[in-house]
Formats: sequence, C-alpha cells, structure tokens
Amino acid sequence: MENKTEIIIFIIAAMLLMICLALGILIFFVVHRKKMLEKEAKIASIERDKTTEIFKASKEAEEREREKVAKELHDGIVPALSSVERNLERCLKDFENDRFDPLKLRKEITYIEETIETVRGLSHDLIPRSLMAFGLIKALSDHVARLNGVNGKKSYFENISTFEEQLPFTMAEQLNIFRMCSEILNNLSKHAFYGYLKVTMDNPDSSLMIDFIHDGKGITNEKIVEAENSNTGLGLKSLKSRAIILNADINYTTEDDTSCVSLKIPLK
Amino acid sequence: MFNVLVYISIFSVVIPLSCCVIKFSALNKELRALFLYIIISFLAEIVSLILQQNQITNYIVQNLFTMFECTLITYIFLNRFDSNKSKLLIKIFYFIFVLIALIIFGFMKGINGSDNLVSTYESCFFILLAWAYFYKLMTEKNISKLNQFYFAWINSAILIYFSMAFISFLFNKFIGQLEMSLYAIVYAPHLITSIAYNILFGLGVWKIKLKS
Repeated sequence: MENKTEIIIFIIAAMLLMICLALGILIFFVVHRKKMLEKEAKIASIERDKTTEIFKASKEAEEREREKVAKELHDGIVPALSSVERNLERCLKDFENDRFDPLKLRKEITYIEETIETVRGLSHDLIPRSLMAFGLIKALSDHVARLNGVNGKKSYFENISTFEEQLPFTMAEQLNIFRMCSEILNNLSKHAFYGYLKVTMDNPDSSLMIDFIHDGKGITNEKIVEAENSNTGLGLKSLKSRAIILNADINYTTEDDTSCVSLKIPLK
Repeated sequence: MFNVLVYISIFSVVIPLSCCVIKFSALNKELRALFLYIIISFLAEIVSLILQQNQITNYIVQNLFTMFECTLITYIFLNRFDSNKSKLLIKIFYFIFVLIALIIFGFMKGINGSDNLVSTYESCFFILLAWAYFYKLMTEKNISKLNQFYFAWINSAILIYFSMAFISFLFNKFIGQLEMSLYAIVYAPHLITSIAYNILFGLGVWKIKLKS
C-alpha cells in the first residue's frame, strides 16, 4: 500500500514537472522572442539613424560645395568679367573717338586670361580631370606635386600600397576621398606652417590608409573636436561629413618634431 | 466531482468544434484536418463513455483514436514546416510510430488489447514537434504579434496536453488498476489539461480571420 502511495505521488510529481517544463518552455519562448524582436527593432532603428545621418552629411557636403562654387563665381569671376566688360566698352568708345590704345586692350586680354585660369581652377576643384581620367592615386600624386615648391615648402607623394593605378572604389567614392585629402592639405597649408610634407598611401588590414606626415604645427584629436564644434570649422565639418559617408576614420597625432593626419577608409 | 470533471472534459470539445463551424470558410487544409481530428476526438469520447457505462472495454476505440490522432496531427505539422529536412524527419518519426503500432496492434496485443507504448511514443513525438515548432517560430520575423497567430495557440495546446499525457500514458496500466478514489486523484490533472487543450484549440481557431 505504501509502495502504491509512493508511486501515485511520483506520478503526480512527474505530471506537475512535465506541466512546469511545458509552461517553462512556453514562457521562455515568449520572453526570448520578445527580446529578440526588441533587439531587431533597435538595430533597425540604429541603421535608419545611420542612413539618415549619411544622407544629411552628403547633403551638407553638397551644399557646402555649391556655396563654395557660388562664392567663387560671385566674388571672383563675375566681378572680373564685369570689369573686363566695362573696360572693353571704354576701349570701344576710345576706338570710336579715335583715341584707341592697344595697350589697354592687351591689359583686358590679360584679365580674360586670368579669369580663364580662375575658371579652370574652379573646374579642377569641382572634378579634377586627372581623377576622372586616371583615378585617385594619380590625382592625389598630381595635387601633392603642385604643392611642392610653393612658398618654399617641400611636398612628396609615395604610394606603398599594392594598388598601382586603380583603387577598389567607385568614382563618387574616389572623388569624396580626393576632396578629403584636398581639405586636409588645404588645412595643413593654412595652419600647420610645415616645411616638409610627405603623403603616403598604403593598404593595411583591408583598408586604404593615407598618411599626411609633416614637420609643422600638429594638432590632437581633442583639439579637432573643439574646432569642429566651433562655428568656424566648416572645412572640418565637411571632412567629418565625408568621413561618415565613406565610413572612414581620421586620426590626428603629434610628436616632438613630426605630426601626422591619418585617413583610414575601409576597402570593400 | 470527478464525474463532473470527466463530463466537462468530454464536452469541452464543443468549444473548438463550434469555433471550427463558425470559421469553417476560413479554415485552411491543416485546420480542416484539425476540425476532423476534433470531430473524431468528440465521437471517440462519446463512444468510450457509452462503452464504459455498459461495462465494455473501450481499448479498440482508444487504439484507433491514437492512430487517427497521430496521423492528423502529423499531417498538420507537415504543413507547418517548410524545410524538406524537417518534413523528412517528421515522416521518419511517423513511420516509426506506424511500425510500432503495426507490431503491437497487429501481432502482439491485437487492436482490442491494452497498450501504452504506442500512445507514449506518440506523446513524445508531439512534444518534440511542439518544441521544434516553437524554435522555428523564434526565428520567424513575419509574425509581429504572437497572440494573434493561430498556430501559436494550437502548438501551445499540443505541448501542454501531451506533456501531461506522456506521464498518464506511461503509467496507464498502473493508473487503470487503481481504486476509484485514487484513480480520480491521479487522472484529474489529465482531465484538466484536456479541458485546457480544447480551450486553447478553440482560441487558435478563433484567431483565424474570416475571408471577406
């Protein structure tokens, strides 16, 4: 009889255990699924935010580019052409009054040539021809070569990457990288007061690394963040926007006599 | 009290049955199989009750019902899993069930014999299927609200009922030999889960949206 009672207790306990197990699995499943869905929603939200940020950054970069072109046209080319127009009208009047001076006309031709040069420079700034024709390596090499000797500063470009001519980036991405390099070089020319600049291109750890090593005044990442947050750091903001678009990192380091700006772009 | 529980358990089948009738036009092939299973279950319960009241053994009804039950629920799950691997595994488990049932009912004890191995195997099989289905649901992203998904209710019903039934079936012979008062104590949890089983089935069928 005692044995029978023990078996009955065992059976009831086993039944309860099985029910608890079934309910436990059910609860675990519901809770786990809920957590999983929440996690997925969070990831989707982060992705959405990132996409929005990239879109915003690309729009900002585009706007700044337009502003730059508009400023260049408004402040440089339009006044120059207006001045040439006025002077040519004067030349015409002089010609009608038999007081024509060929030297004055020569002067205007020089003005026009200068304006053509400005337009060429602006066009090069918009999309460098060497970039379109030969890619980023050549364009950057040309750009650095043009800086060599300006105000007695020495600039060199060295490609130590495994890429000889073409990089595994789309033309739009190469243009973006070129603009970043151009902005960095411009900032270095304006603020670093270097005498020697070496630009190297390498491809360690599935990324493209462009280092701007110079002997001028260096800057740290902290100072850059401060400058980015100030109203005057438009160029730095543009750099940051482009870095977001390319998923790139910009690192500023400085030592006793050498400083470096490193641009790291992940390869696809 | 126990008799009341027995009657509630038997007639609780009316809940999913009514739901199936109301939502009949919206039932897909697996739910139609479920509907057929509920009808067979209801008929088996009634026939068993009549046989029991006339002191006639109802093993033949129980054994035949187990065969139908396993076939219909396996068919339902076969329609719920998408991968060929899962389907093949279900078919193998079902084939083993048929083999055991054939050996036991065909050669060893006969269709009118008392047996618990077939039903215990069946319970085990369905517990595993219910677990596997919940695992599949975990990775499915197209179901946003689980409580609105009909098969989540049906799968819960299967998991809860067969988890309990597994022990009842395993100790079937021992429970059957107990005097009425003890039998009532041991068998009552089975009846309660049976009622829950039917209610959850009803809820599952009710979640099906009627075609406009």
